[in-house]
Amino acid sequence: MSMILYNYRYRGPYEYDKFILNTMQLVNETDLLEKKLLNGDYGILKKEIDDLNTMIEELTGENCKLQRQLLFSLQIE
Amino acid sequence: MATNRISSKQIMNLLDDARNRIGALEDDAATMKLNMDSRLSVIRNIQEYEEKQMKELTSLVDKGRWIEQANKIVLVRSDIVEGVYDIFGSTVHPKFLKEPNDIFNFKTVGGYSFKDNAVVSIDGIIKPRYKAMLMHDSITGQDICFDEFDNNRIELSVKINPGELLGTTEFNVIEIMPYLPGSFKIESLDIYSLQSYYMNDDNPDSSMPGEIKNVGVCRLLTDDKYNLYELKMKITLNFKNSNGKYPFGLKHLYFLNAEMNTESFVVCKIKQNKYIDTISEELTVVDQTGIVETTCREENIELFTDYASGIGIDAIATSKGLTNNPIPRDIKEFYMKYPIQRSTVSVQFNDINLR
Repeated sequence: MSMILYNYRYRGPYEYDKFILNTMQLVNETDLLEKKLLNGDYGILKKEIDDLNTMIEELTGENCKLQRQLLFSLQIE
Repeated sequence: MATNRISSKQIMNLLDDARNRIGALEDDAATMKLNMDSRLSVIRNIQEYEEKQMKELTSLVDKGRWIEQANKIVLVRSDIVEGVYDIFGSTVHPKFLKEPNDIFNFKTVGGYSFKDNAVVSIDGIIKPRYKAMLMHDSITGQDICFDEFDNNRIELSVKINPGELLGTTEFNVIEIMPYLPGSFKIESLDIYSLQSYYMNDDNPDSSMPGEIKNVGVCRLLTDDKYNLYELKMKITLNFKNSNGKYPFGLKHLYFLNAEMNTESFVVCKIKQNKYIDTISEELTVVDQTGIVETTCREENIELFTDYASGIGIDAIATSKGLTNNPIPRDIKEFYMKYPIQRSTVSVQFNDINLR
């Protein structure tokens, strides 16, 4: 992104307007990006993390497969 | 009508706000990536360890080891016909008289709330996410305490900040739930109390007498109640993954203050595939302190040929050395009444002769 140059000395008020418009545009772009990410990629990512959490819940715990394997191995070792 | 003109200060605030929101999005992305990586690492290691264990078990079963261990009673897997007891994971322990208090999580109407007044370190490295092991499982959005280590010997420490005590730290039960049950052993477990901390005493108040092999989901009972200042565990990791690292993590490590029924017991029905001739007096108990060679008399174990309505019928005399006490009846099963005084995993009679 190239730097925006403001020539206040010769173009005074017009340059200030340019600065204001650029700022407003940046704020709008940020709003749009935030909405797009939260409703799109981030939302999917968050759901994927929730799915992984559910999977970990199933793989661990008091009666998980590894724990049952351990009890079985205690019986035969 | 005058138009509302936005001031320079408001413009600058808008700019600041936009910049902050972009920064927050970047942070969120980084956090989510870390969360995802740690969770994927847990799942990958669980699957790898499961596969390895399954291969070992299959090989043991193929060698016929299952039949040889018929005189061993893993209490959790046994046929318990009656008793006053509690089960957690691999261990059977005296029954809790009421729901125990967790010193790091206090129960409110809306669920558990975490008391963040401890520091958890592994090998001296403090990471905020290690504290997740102290949080109650029901607390949502918590981190994962799981890492892969280069060395197979690590030291875990949980230390209270005495300057920020949020209630009592008195406990007598340690509840452990690993992500990889059976993948490590606890070589030593030392408890340092707040009293010793205030007295500048560096010696542990309680130390576990033996080592605990193949630690799974379990509860360990301490010999007394202690006000926790620090807990140190020396751990040896047995599982090396395909990356050449030693994975370790605890889903939870609770410190519970419990009142227990001292009259706890279990009655197990033990079956054999032939008629039982004699049962040895000597036995081996695997409990939280390790392996204990003991006798039925020392453990107050009673054996019966039958058990009905809470009463043992026809007591069985055990055999020791030259004193042989064959069972006069043809029975393929008997009942064992075992008083539960500590957290116990299994009871193994040295000999059960069959005819």
